[in-house]
Amino acid sequence: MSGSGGGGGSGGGTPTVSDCAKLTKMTTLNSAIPKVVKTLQADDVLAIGLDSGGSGRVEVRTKQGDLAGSITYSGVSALRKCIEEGWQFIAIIRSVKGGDVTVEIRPKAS
Amino acid sequence: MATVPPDTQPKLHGAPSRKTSPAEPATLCLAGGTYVEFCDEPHWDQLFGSGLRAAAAVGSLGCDVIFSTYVGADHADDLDVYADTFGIQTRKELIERTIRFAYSHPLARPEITPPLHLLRQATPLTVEGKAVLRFGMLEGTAVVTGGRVVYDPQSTYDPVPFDANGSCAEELAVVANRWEAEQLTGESTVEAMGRALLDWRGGTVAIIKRGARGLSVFVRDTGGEIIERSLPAYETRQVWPIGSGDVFSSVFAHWWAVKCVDPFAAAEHASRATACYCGSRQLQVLEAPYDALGYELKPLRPELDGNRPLVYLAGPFFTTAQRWLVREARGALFGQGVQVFSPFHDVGLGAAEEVISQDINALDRCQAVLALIDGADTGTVFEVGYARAKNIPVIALAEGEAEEPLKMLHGTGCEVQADFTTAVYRAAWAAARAIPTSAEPRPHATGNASS
Repeated sequence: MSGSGGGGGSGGGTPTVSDCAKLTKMTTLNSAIPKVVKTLQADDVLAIGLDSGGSGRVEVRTKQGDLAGSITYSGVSALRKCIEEGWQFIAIIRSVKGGDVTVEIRPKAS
Repeated sequence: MATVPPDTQPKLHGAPSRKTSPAEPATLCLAGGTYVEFCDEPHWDQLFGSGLRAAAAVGSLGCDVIFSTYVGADHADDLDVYADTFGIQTRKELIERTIRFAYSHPLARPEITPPLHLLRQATPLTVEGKAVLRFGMLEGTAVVTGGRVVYDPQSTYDPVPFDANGSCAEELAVVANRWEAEQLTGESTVEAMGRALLDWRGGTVAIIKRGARGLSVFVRDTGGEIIERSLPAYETRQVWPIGSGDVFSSVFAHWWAVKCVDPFAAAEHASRATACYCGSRQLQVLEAPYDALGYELKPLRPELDGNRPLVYLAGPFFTTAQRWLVREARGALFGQGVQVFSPFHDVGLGAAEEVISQDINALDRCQAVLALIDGADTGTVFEVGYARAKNIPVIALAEGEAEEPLKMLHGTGCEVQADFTTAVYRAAWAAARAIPTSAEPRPHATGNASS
């Protein structure tokens, strides 16, 4: 899958503006919710945020607010830190194969 | 964060999501590796490894889990996010760098970084609990003292006996694949391997995983008698094998060590849950009634009456890239226990009158065709058509083809797959299905197939 990857490292410290502004990543949804996944198709844009319950989980929700799944990948702590710093991100659906949903994460255009 | 200081009694997270009887241990203590997993195709870039995946799987089943692991400082914060996502309590032992496995495809031999010969052994982890799952690790070991303990050696190179590091268990279940069981016991038959594993101190259950042939489960009953049962593996429409063994061991541990159910029933749960994982790459699909894939799981044929099916590997071999793919497919098919006829390997280049008769002869003898159809090479398309005319199942790997050129394949009953790994598994399974059920020997031997 050429062009995937990127996704600005991981590790401690506060992410810089530059780190968060450039953070892009191709990954798959974890714990995908079947009834929500059935409504998704390529190019749909979903919102990324932290679980409002305070678990620290990085979640993906539809425009209607339905939980579609959660995000993990090698380097995901950088994404969580950027969100905690106030940055907003979106997940663009790249493919849906059964319950296997591939998304591209990128900063939300301001 | 879900990290538990090593020397404090862990407090269970959240409200219990399940009912426990007084006899059931409330928590699974788990020790295993946390590794970066990268795969080119299908794309995958995750922090899992045996231990973390198993912890996530058990967490998804609503079981409280305390996960002891090594992790590099470069991924310690990532591990916190995973722990929060899956509801895991972690005990982290920091090492210099997280080990990374990189695959070109899931059936390829991974490139491991840092290389094994440069790995330093870390200080052993110590784990105590009533219910424990321990995996073998590359960078260290976990010394376990437990009640019901499941041990999965998880080593492609050098599996070690459970008690070699001082571990002990009141009741021990060993989950190993056939190769690991052979290395651990020195035995050559599955029955002898199972019995030898039960002779380990505390040995209560031995499970030997045999790929498409399913599981052989050996249980020592309270009277000391050994009971053996075979259980099936299950067919799925998509196959993602990375981590399937981790899921099996974790689901088995959940049912046998935590829920205290019969080991045969626990193994059956684990086999079905593993199929659901392989068919979806998801960890929240591991619970009965195992219908998350949207279709009924079909058991694979456990025995083939001593016959090994033959897969004809059709594909062009005129460029380095094409020959690489043919080699990968051939090796992967051998890994599924089938015989392979590859025109490139078994006949080679030559004049048409010398080559074609051998290819056609092999097509006539095979039980299934795996066709590498990208590029629509005329020879490959001819082989597909010939096979379909003889009602031989064809699995076509088409990663880059548009739908329109594939119309004839779809229309003639070929199974078209876009994923290399799935195509390999499906071809091997299709060939196994086509083997006659009687004990009659197959009419032809295949001289060129690897043993």
